[in-house]
Amino acid sequence: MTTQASAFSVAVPSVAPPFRRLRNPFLVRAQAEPSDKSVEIMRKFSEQYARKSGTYFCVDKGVTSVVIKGLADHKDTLGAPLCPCRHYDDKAAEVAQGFWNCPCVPMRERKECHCMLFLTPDNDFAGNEQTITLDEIQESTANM
Amino acid sequence: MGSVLSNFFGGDAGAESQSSAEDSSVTSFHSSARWQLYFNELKETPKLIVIDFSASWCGPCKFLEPAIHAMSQKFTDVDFVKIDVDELPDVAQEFGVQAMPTLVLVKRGKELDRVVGAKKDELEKKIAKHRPSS
Repeated sequence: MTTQASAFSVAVPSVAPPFRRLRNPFLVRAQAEPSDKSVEIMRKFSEQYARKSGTYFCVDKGVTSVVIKGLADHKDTLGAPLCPCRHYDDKAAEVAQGFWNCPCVPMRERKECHCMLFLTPDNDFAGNEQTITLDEIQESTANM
Repeated sequence: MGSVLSNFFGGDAGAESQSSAEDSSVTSFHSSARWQLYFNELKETPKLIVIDFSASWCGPCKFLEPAIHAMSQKFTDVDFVKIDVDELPDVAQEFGVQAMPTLVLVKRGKELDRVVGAKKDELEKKIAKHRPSS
């Protein structure tokens, strides 16, 4: 019985999902980088949606870059671009519910993006661009 | 696994304070227990605490960061604390944090005020209003 229990407890770690510590132990923050593929998908989506909604990126493209990477990260880990600027008790349930999947309901209905990704022209922080390159994203998030 | 984890988080905490070495007046907490200990200690004093709830990939949080560091140097009688909601979800839940950044002003264990969003001026005004020496 005891042997069984210990054998079982030994077996558990190998069954446990891979933890993000494996990515890069020297990373400054406790976070993993989203995949290039998802970053590119979210970058394109952001450009298209800005044009479609008549909104602009922040004058500080670092803000735009961080949010695009956050959306990509959620796309990788949750399967949907859940808003990275909100706290959820249960992210999976939130994804299924859909309210905060980008573009979220407040954005679609009232052009309100508290993440400062899509800014209406009258917003103090709105720039005059609706494009952002992959290089810009990588550059402005390089030292994070 | 446990030791690897604690090494990892230990390393992370070290790197965190290093990255803001020149203005290290903002304290980051990486364990709920340590936060609770700190919070309980401060309950006994009239000190104002500003808790910055943020997340790794939150753009407005990054945007506000330099302003918070500047305020932490300006208001030296105020404690500035940073909490990552993904790292300490129980603390975020306790304070009912929904959108980030959320800045909660606390004194003697009680919430006095809060600012939701990267509203630098509003935050500065509220800190000035609530700090003990004002």
